[in-house]
Amino acid sequence: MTRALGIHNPVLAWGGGLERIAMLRFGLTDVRDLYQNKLGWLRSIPRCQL
Amino acid sequence: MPVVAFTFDRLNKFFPGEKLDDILKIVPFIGVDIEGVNNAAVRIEYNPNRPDFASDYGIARAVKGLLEIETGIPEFKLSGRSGCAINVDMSTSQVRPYIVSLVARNRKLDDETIKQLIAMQEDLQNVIGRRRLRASIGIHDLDAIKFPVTYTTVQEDFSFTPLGDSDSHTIRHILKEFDVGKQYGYILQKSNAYPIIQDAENNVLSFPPIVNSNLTRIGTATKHLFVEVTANNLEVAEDVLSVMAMALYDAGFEIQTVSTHNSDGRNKETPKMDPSYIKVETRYINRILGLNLKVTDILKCLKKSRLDGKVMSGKIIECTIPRYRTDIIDQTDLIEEVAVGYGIYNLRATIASSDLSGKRNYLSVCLDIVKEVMAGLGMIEVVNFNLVSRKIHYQLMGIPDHENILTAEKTKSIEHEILRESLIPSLIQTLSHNIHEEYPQKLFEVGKVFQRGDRIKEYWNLGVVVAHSKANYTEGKSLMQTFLKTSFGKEIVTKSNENAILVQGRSSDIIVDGLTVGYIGEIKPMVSDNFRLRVPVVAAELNLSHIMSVS
Repeated sequence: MTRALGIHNPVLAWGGGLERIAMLRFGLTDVRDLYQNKLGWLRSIPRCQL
Repeated sequence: MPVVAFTFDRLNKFFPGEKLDDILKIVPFIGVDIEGVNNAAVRIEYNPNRPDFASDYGIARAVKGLLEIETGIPEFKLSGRSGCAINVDMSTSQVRPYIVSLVARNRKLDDETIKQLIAMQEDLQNVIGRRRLRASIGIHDLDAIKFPVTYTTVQEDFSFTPLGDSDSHTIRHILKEFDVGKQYGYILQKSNAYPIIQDAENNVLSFPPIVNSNLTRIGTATKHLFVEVTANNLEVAEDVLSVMAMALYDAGFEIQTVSTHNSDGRNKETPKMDPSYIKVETRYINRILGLNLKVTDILKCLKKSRLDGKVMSGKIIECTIPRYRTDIIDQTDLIEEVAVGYGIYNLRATIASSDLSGKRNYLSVCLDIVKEVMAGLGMIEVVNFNLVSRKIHYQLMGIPDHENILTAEKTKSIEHEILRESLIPSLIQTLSHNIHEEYPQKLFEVGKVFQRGDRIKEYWNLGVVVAHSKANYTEGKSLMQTFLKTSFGKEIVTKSNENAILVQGRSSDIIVDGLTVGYIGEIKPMVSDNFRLRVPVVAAELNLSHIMSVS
């Protein structure tokens, strides 16, 4: 595939969604919690220590 | 991803003397996933690029290689010509041009084998057959058929008794009333000639790709099979047939060829199971895998992947690929097979030999500084979507639509129809979702906005809204002034402006180094009312892309 685009070096690609990891980290069961911008929740979540 | 069920009974039958746990441990390393285990079977999820895994015979074939029970090209031989023939009528070339077939003899079918064959047929039809559009399969009781068979077309008033029914129905009725007709009828839409497979006594075998007839139904009394694949793509048809042939051979059938007599006079014996050959350099294999394999090691790995190799001159191996391995197209596929044969679990992680380190993209670092400064100013970050609704961004904001709005074609939801040109409307919408939360509410968003010019332009913007009973322009200006000084070291100049969403006389442009980069202002009460907000809102929006380009 990459050869047809003129790339001759090997190419590695991978990816993962962050939502599931975030849900595990914050103990969420509904992914929509991450997108609804509810201030009550946003104000209460502590900063993620990585 | 498609799933194949492998019963414990059959696992024990195919792998006598092996412990179930040992088999299950190696199964993922042929490149599949164990989806689940219940008290009767293992459910194995495989990728569509391996149609040969659509039956447990295919899984067993690969596992035997890794366990070194059987290595090299799997045994397969054709047992000569069956003497059966199909005559193809020219009319089929308008609707579903290709048919290939085989005869499988001398094997008593048990329930589980029938289940595997039907499941394989379904998966092959759905996956490489693209839900029967490209290819579909018919499995028939050979003894119910009088050869030669004819593949031709009929009109919609033609009738036969479909599988599972006791009455005869017309093609028209089947397409309109039967579930399979409604589901797959669109494949035949463009013609008013319908493909049909009939035997020498004009009995119908099948109405591809819709349904077979009752005549050739298979069961535990069936001993010989006639398997046909009809398609709109010859290569796909032959791929599908070769996968079926391999599975049927492993199931204990003798495979014989069928003569296909085409309308242009050309005859073909199917299936053609000749292997193909691809050359690969041993040096290339070792370079990609990061290993130091000797030629003998590489040959062993290929054999464990059920392939074979022959050493040519100059460290080149010519690999033999059996016909049913439709997934192997070039050298890189072979290198993957070597890795599988070597054992993915044997590949060790090592630290890369380069001493260059990666770092974050400059834009990300800048945007992070922006967010930190805003948080330091007591603001809460929110994130909204790039695809938004006309209602929120134009109607409720009190500004008219214009024809340059970037609109998604055939959107599935009017909530996500247009690309946003500004962050402020979504931020006001966020405020309206939080009217029961405490005030003051001070929100910001760093996100992309889009504009149609002669090209489509994308910018990173900062949007800010401050909502509380005493929110006013001065607070907004103070915020923006401090923000630009702290993040970018820039002084701002403000100049009174006119903006359709902001209160006249309480809004201004933000100018940095002589360039207008944004605005501040009190949102018009009419707009706040539209969003059901009961407190004043001051808003500001800044084009960060422009600011970063002058910094």
